[in-house]
Amino acid sequence: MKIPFWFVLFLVLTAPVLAQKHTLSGYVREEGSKELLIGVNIFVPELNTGSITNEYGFYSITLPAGTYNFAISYVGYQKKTEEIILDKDVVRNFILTPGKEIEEVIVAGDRSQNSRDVQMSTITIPVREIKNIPVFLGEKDVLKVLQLMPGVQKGSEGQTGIYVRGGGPDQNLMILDDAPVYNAQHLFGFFSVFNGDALRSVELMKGGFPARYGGRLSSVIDMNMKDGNRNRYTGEFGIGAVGARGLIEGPIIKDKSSFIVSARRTYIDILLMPIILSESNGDGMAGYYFYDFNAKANYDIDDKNKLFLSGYFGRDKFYARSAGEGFKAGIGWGNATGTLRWNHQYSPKAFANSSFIVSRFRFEITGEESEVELIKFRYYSGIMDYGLKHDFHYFHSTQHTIRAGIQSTYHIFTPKARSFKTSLDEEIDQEILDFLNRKEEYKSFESGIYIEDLYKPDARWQLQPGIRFSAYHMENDAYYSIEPRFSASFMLTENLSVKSSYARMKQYIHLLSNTGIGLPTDLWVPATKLVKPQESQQIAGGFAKDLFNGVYNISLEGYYKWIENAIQYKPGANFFIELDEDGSGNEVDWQNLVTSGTAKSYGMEVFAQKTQGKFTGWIGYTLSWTKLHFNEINFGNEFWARYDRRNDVSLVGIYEINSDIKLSAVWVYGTGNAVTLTTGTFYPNPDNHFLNSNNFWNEFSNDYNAINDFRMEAYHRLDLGIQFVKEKARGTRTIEINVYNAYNRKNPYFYDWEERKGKNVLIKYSLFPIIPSISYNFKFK
Amino acid sequence: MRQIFIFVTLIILQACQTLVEDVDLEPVDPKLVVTGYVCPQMDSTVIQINFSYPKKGPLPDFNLLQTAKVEIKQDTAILLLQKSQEYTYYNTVTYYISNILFPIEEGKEYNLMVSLTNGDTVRAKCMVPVKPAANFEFADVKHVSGSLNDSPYTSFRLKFLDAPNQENFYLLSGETYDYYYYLEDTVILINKYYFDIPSQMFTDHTGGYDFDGKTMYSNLIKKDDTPEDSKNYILFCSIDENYYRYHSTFNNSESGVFIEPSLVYTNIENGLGYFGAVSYRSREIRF
Repeated sequence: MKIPFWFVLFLVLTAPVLAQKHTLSGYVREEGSKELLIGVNIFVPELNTGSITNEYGFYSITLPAGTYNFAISYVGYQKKTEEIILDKDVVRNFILTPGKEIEEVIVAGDRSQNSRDVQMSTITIPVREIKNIPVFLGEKDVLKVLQLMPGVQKGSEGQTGIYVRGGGPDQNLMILDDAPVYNAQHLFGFFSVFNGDALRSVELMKGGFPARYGGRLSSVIDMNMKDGNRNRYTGEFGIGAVGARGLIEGPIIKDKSSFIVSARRTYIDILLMPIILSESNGDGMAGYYFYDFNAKANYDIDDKNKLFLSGYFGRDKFYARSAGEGFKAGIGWGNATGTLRWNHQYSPKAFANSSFIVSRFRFEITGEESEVELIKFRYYSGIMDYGLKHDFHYFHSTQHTIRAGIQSTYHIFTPKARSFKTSLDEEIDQEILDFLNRKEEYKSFESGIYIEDLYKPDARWQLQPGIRFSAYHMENDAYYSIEPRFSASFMLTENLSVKSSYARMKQYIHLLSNTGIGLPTDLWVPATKLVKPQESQQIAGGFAKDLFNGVYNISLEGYYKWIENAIQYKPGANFFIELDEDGSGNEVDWQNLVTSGTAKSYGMEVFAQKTQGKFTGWIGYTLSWTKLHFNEINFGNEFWARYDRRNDVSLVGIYEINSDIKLSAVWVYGTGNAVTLTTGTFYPNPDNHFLNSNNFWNEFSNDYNAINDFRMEAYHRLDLGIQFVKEKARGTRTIEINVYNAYNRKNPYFYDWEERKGKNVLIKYSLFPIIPSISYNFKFK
Repeated sequence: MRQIFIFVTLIILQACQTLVEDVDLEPVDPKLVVTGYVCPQMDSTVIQINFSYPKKGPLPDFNLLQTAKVEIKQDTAILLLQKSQEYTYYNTVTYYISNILFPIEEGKEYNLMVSLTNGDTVRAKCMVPVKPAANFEFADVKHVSGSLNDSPYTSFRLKFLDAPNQENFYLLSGETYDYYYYLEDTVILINKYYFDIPSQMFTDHTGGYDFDGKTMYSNLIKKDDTPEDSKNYILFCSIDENYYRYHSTFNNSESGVFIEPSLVYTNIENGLGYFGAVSYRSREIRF
């Protein structure tokens, strides 16, 4: 293995400082499954210092020679203390035992993470909490749990789209095992693509982004899949109101290699099939389904080298066909990601990961008619990424932990492509055939190089400066950016810290969306000469306090974020214009359908959490303002963003009555969305002397006061859940009953005018009434 | 199974029925809608007035439009417009004045005021742009034969130099005269109709490009269904921003739940509509 020159130089320069010091390093795994654990605290009470396992479960701590009691602790696991004589470099892999959740306190951490962590605006979602929270139709969903965090707005009823600190849904970097996921939504956003069963960790960052992340403005949602049980074969399955899921994991080579496979599919189409066939006399069929498939395998080449191969495949599909009429049609969309990772340990203090990443999202409409002549039509749009990244993690000392890396992604954007085949080819003009077989494609390179240092000058200060250089090339156009990042925390007392951060972010890809509700017709498009990259800057500051030995955490944060070159469709423009021609024989260019502007968002967030004990849960409160300014929208006047939400509250509570019964409740409240409402109509009487062929002569126009100047009613909802858990001979059975919208609140989905008895009446349409659901899960021992 | 499906559907429909509610909203008053423009090359200035219909609020009193006071002012000159009896759509009332009585000149600002007898008054102003330079050219005339779905047509380009150091708004239109004469009240009339092509409005910042002071091209298409001996004229207009922005709104007038609504531009204070200006050149084109 060739060690980089700069790394050797660094070691040489720092060697004198490190004299008489030794390094303890290794991995921390879960007992039984041998899953690597991320974020485990390795604390040295004698020196009041410590280290944390990285996203690959690796830790390293360099201390003066001596004998120390290392305390290894992790929320949800039993604390472990081990005396180690550090008279040389020592490699020690720790195994932590999961704690019984019923116990009053599972972990008594010597130092709670919240107040001591330099990283602010970051929330680690406990994956097992995801399973305890009541959700819509019983489908456990990571993104819906994220929506319950302060600073994360929910969008519309039932949707999984998230809006972080005033940012759009395209400004969230969702990464699954290093691979970006471009469309995280199933069924128009009612479910997310992330199957909680297969996830090991979920981390949400809303600000103060470390330099290792780039490419999006508003948030990073970093998810890691489980590696698979290395000890024995096991699995679980579940059947819910709309779908079923299953998971199998086990060793390939015991203690050396393992795999995990999980799948999920809805079965509404299968249940309705007999009815539809019966109604159509066996001739027609129509339906909808989605599925997810996650797979991962890992292999320890030796003590210093590990390989991981993981993938996700998911797809939504609407279909309709009629055998008698020779007709078939379908709408489908889906993601596919693949990651090959190689972990390499250069030395006890130097760890590296290299990844090759592939990610694809595609939306597709297909049609086939064969009754008279064969005609096939296909339209699709999407994005394809090939990426390489190398991250280097150097645990220099207890004062410095340095990360550096480089990454590059080759994007292939296909905003629209279509193909047309027919047996009548000879009879159709070539020009028309050419038009029907067009493909618009953009290729670009996005690269980034970064370095960051977690610097702890003393027990009270933690600083994390970082810088990222990003570059973007598309054809002859190029953009370059320097993105400084900085986070700092200062311990005011033993468990109270004050934090601040600054981050500049650049985003070279855009999502064109009319709806904001996660339709697959939303288009990913590149930054071009005309449509510049988006840019944001965010400053944040706040306090974090731990109470009762870390059982309770409270944080208060304020932020101000401003965004430049945000894009939106111009008024009246939409995806379907993209499909059409503009009437002059020229196909409409998406670049002419969008307009650039600015956005600013500011606010305050409170997060109070109880992480341990019989009762766990949290309270999240956000007070925020988000305003947009586009010269071509709202006559150039500033306007509220659709999801500007003055007040947003989430209350989450989970209570274990005993080991067999678990109760949970979620209550959410949010100020109504800002929408544009028609206040009247008028005959616009356009000039018909010079303008002679438009088609609006006799049409009435709507009169709007201003964009988004009407507030929908406030949104609030209570969800309840109860889980009955029973230990069986072969595993654990859980029956779960959920009630969505328990007090049947009629939350507004959209408003529209209706004429009744000659009068106009504004009607509020709601989507979901009270919806009970039941699901059955079984987890094998 | 079928009975179960029907039962479940009925429950869902019942639930959905209760998911629709009326919303109480404050009423708003009708707004005065004023539309029209001034043009030095035209015989008269025409201003049309109407009311908007509030979704919730009192119906407009259209009688007020019949007695409106419509006046145009330029410097110290003020002239009242006369009411016309011509047929218009949807209660629109037309007021006009001959440009012989009130000449319209390029580069000058005109103010419009419309007052109703109930005290409602709206105002607007506009500046008449200078008409395009005379040295524009037609180029690349190409006849295209018809296809399965398209009639034959002729395409051509208009080439011109943009006036520098200012934002310019353009309109291209056309008109065709054929030689069908007929007598009406002892006057010979010439039949006149427009090209069957979309008119075009554009600026010297079209498509995100800055054409300020540069040579611009605009593509035109004329369908070949006019008589061969007809005369074809291109009307090349400079228009003011008010005319451009008001009419541009309707080019993006698609609406729907999932489409960002288009606010209709207006320069009428306290009202709706536009008061704009046009100045044009007309030139014959032979194919």
